[in-house]
Amino acid sequence: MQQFPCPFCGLRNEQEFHFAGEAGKTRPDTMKEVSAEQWSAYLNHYNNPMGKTCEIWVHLPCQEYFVMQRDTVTMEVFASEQIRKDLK
Amino acid sequence: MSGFRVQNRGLIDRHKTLSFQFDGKSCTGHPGDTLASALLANGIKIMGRSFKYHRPRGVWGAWFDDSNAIFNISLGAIQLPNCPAATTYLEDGMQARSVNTFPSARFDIKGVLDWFSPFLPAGFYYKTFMRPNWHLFEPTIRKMAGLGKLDGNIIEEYQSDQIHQSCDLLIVGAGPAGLAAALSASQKGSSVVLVDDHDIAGGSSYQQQSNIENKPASLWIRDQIAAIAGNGGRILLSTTAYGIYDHNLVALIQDSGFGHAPRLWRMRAKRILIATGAIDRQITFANNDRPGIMSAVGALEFLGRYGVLVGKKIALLSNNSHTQNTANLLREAGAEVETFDTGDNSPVAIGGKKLRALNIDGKSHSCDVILASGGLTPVVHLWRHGGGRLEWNEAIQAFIPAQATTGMRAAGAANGIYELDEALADARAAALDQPSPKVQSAYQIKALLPDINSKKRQWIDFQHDVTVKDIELAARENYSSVEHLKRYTTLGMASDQGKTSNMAGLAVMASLQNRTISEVGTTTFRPPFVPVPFELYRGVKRQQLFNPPKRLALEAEHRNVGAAMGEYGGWLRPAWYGDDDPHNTIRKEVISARTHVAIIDASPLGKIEIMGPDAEKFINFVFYNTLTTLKPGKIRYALMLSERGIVYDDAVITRVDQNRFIISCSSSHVEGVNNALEGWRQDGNDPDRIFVHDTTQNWATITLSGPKAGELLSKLDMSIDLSPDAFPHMTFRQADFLSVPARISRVSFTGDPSYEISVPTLHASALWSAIAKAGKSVQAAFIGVEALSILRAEKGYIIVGKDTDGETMPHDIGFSQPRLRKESAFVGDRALHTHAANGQNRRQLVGLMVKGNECKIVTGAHLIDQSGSKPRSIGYVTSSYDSPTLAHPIALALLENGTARIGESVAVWNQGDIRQATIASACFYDKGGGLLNA
Amino acid sequence: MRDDRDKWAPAIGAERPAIKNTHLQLSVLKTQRQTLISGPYKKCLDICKLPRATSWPQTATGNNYAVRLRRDRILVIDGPSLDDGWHDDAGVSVSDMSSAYILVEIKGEAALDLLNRGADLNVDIASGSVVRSFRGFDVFIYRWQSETQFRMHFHHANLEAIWQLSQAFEKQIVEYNRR
Repeated sequence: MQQFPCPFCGLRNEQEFHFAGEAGKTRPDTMKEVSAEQWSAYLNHYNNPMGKTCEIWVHLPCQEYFVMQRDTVTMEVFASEQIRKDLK
Repeated sequence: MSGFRVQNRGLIDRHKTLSFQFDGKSCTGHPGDTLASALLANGIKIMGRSFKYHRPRGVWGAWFDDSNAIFNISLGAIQLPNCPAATTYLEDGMQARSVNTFPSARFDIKGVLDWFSPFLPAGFYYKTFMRPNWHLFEPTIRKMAGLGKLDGNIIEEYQSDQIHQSCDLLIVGAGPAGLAAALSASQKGSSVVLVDDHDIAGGSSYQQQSNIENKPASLWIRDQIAAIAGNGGRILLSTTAYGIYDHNLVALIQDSGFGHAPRLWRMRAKRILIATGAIDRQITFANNDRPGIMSAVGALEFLGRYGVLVGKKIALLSNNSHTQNTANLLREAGAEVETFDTGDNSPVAIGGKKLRALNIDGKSHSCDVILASGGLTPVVHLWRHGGGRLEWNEAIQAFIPAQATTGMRAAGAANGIYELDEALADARAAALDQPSPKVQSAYQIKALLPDINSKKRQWIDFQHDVTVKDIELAARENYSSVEHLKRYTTLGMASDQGKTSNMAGLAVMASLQNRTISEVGTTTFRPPFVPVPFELYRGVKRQQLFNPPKRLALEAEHRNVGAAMGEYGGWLRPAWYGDDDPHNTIRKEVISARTHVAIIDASPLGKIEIMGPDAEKFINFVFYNTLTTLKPGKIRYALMLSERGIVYDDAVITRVDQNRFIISCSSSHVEGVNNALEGWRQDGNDPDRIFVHDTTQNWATITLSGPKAGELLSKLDMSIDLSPDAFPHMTFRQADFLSVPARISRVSFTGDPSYEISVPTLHASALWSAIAKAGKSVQAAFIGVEALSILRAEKGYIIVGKDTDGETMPHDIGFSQPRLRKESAFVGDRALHTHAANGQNRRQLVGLMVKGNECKIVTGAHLIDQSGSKPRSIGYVTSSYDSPTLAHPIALALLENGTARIGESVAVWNQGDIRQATIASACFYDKGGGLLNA
Repeated sequence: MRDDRDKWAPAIGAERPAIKNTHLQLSVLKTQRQTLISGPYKKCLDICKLPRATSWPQTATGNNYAVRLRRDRILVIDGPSLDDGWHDDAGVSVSDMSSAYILVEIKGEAALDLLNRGADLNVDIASGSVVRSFRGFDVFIYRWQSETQFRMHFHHANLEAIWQLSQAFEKQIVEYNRR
């Protein structure tokens, strides 16, 4: 069982977290023309890299959404950072 | 009969004698004995049969390195299967039976299988029973295989205890190295946990009768233990570290004695020290599986711990210097010992159930036991679980720990350091995370190369009868990768997990392919290191604690009036009230609701509050329907979509004031909706201007529904004008009920006028009593979830997830306007305009009718198109009831292009039967909606 | 129609005897008020006039105190009465949750042992939030008055389950200490 660093709570057990997506995706502005390809990429295309990856996770008990860098092979966790930038 | 007890040796308590039975034979032993040691002391050598050929087997090792002796054991009313004899401590009155044998290990009828072994090579079952279908043969083969038998009785108190703990340093193995390390680390103030699978610390020190650091071993051990405890270190005995999982989580199983469930420790350690020692490696030679051929280290363990000498006339076959002292120790204890070098000529064991001789270099040497020592082998399983790497050490002919992830070290024999003083120095350095001292090892070993050309059978895996020839076959058929080899031959599977068979198997494969062992590599080591019972993971999570439902604040009140409580969406709710026939009861409840008024506990309905200056903008984005136009005090029905445009939930949304909304989502979706809202809030919005509070459980909600709902509400004296003009459908009022705040929403899930009254849960009982009392004069009836389900289906109101599925979009269930008209972005918007979303054959929500005298359609039945050559499913029935209101069956269904087909007939298929139904609008009750506004 | 009325033992509710042995006592406490306040941390404290909200493994003291649930949310125990909804002047959102959460107190030398059978509590790992998963249930756990006295809040609908769990854990602790 892994331990993930919630930026607010610190290390907690993996069971308290949910994966919420790959980091770096931006929702297309749907008030403008969005092509089927763009929308499909937004919904379905994941890089799913082997090794270092950057993902969005949520710590369920405190509902903090954050970006975590980790290694999918060694399970090493490098850093986590809150998703909201304004409160630093 | 060859093994026997010797005086003045071992740690057993000779003052007390324990009686037990093995395969029906009465035996005795002493406290401190394992079943294996006691049997050896009783002169019993055959303790089991191999898995495939049913060859007789004795113990190979004295502890976890034995997979031959596996017993069904009963003690009193408790029977447990598959207990390893070498690690199960003897208790008075135990009845042990060898598994996989009939009638006993000594006379096993299926031993005849061994005669057919030439026809049963590796892969035999795979190849032979592939056609026509493995499943035809499986039951018989499974019956022939299999190990212990379950007796089917449930042991009530057998419930494992599971604890989370953490420490600075976890040391696995309380041998000399582990003890020295624990003392060093605890002196520096680290919180240390030292675990050992034996019930007494000391590890390998009981094998050699030598001093440790100039003290008698027992004294040295005692001093270390006292000092560790004095420094606050903890020692857990009878505790096996059976797996290291991600981020230094070590799983520990603590034995609680036979018949008592073990304890599970989930130990999170900052650092881990593997001091698991080394075991003996087997030697590959002809007939090397015969009972009486044992590990040399094992023989010393039996002598040192249990005072059992394994034989009178012992042949000691070895390729290494570690056994130099072994012969002396055995002689001192009273055995006659002849030593042999493995040499260049493959030895042959002579004898069947009883060993007679060792033939070597052309001579026959009579013996009753052969001790085989193929070299010390560090126990590196946990090291690999923890992600540590291994490297092949040519000098000691073993894989030893190399690099590891942060926080894990190995020390002592587990680290390939076999000399005591050097091991202690190594352990102390590792405990303080200092570099290991350089070691000049005196240990000598000759590389063992199996004779792969021998015509005789040489055994690699004693439990599964894998021989050198099987490995040869696997190599020939190109299963030469070790992982393929393992699966093809079953080498090293089951309880052995490669502990004894791995190195021998690798050596054969290396010889066959002219590679080195390090080039062949090892298979992946996976937890558990020793077999653990399933119970370990269940713990208290059983029966009422397996998946407990949420309880209503009003449960006692419901039970008082006869509620049959049932599980609905994670809550325990009244299904119906009363003891009469449920169908009839539910029908009556529906009729009461339609003619008078129904009282429904709707407390599980979501009450998620969205507050803040950006609440309106936010809620308008998250929901499908336009909500910017919703005025304070008004309520609107809305759908929540996923980004894929699929209906995720439906809710009624109340605008309390400019900056505050209450989302009343489905009872079973509260958590999901809350999480989705929170996700959108933090991603792309200013989270200081929107807040989401799930207040669901702060409020109890009682719904009054029916023609007399208003009349009943008026009796509660909440000073609200209930006239339809003053309090119309889809509006909201705040009031006081007995001086506590109450909320009243006029919304309907039945099609009749309804009021949802919410008060803080602590006051639920008062509200319930007041309503029950006032309800008598208007013939009000308590109704359960079953009646409510019928009422809503009559009106065509959906339950998301029941009447919709993972493809349903809002326009499929009649909500097309926002898709076409909404002027701002919303979740799932683009997905509603894809090719698929615009398809002609989308499954749409419709009603189905059959004649009044026919029975209702089965929920889940397919609607089929029979026009083609083969019938095709074009939809299915999502809800179906006998409607008490309409006096005929009704159903809701998702049907391809269904809206355009209203009035047509459709074929309904259920398990081969086909009947006809008429497609109708999904609303059967008050289609005009006039009643709602009454 | 399946009749499951006897499948689940009837709920007892909050009025119940304590779980008690020589090492441990667990009992339901009554509070006057529990208030959920969300907003920037400072603003949350300002409106309820408290100097801080307790995090893990800090110790809350007195009868009127706050615990930190999230980066931007606190729960105030027996604080001032505040209107539900958005407080524009204070910049916070308020919900009265006095009815939502059960509060239990766990004290005695084995208190942490009991909690560690349901959750993974490490006093060496500080945590901003006192919310954690207790065998899958979200609970708030913090120290109160002393380092061996704990309080735990959870949704009232989970009381029966969490109580039964605690009883099972208590039995295991007794068994553990007996050996």
